Amino acid sequence: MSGQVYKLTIFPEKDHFGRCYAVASEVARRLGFDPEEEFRFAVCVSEAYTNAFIHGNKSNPSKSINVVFAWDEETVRVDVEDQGEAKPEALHLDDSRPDIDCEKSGGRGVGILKLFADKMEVDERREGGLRVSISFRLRKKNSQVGVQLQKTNGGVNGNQSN
Amino acid sequence: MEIRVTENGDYITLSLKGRLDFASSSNLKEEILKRVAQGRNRIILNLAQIDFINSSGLETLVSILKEVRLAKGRLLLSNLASYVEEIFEITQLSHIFEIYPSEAEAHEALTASRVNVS
Repeated sequence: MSGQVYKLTIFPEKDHFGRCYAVASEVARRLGFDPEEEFRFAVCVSEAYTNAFIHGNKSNPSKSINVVFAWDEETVRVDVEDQGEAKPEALHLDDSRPDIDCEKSGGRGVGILKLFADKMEVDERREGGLRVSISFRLRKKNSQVGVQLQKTNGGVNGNQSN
Repeated sequence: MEIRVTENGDYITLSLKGRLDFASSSNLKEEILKRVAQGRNRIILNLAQIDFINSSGLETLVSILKEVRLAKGRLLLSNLASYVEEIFEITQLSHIFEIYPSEAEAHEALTASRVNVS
């Protein structure tokens, strides 16, 4: 994908879920998403991040997660990379629908990803861990591709490149 | 997430504000189970100011619902924003939860059921 890339490395410090959500919302807003699209986008990034933390890194506080936003005029893709040892099967990718069994837990996150995102892929990273990639089509021409995302603090480190 | 509890006679209302996710959901569960243990098992959750919920939040609500039902109580949800309601619909949890457009309608449902029972 040619365009812009913004990469965050998030460490599981205080309110790291909130930080991931806030950055995803900010990216969505700057890409011109309406509030409903912004919500869906932020939910998907949050689901992928939560999966990476719980199922990938097993909630290990010493392991970080990369969240990479890449966008051009047609698509935005988010790669969420953990440092764990889980296999793609651990994400229940074969579930065709979200879990509707009240007695069971799990499975809903992937269901939400599948329904909200236009495309979802999972692969194993050469350096170890899983990469979950979710893509969204941009419905209108993005006039703010050159968006600057400089706000970094606490457990979030980010950088942007073309 | 902020939780404001209002005592209303034979039921309680918890008004939630902020994000309902993996990090915040345990506080909510703890708060509700504490009330249930005190016999306050008729509960309305007003989600008007919930601006974000994900599967972790949903898991917690399902878990709370099971506990409330075990205590022979009721858990009603009200005032869901359209995008929050959509999450309940796509996960089909809208079939499991009692969801009302307003707190007043949820209250009516609680009252009506009490009349029916007696």
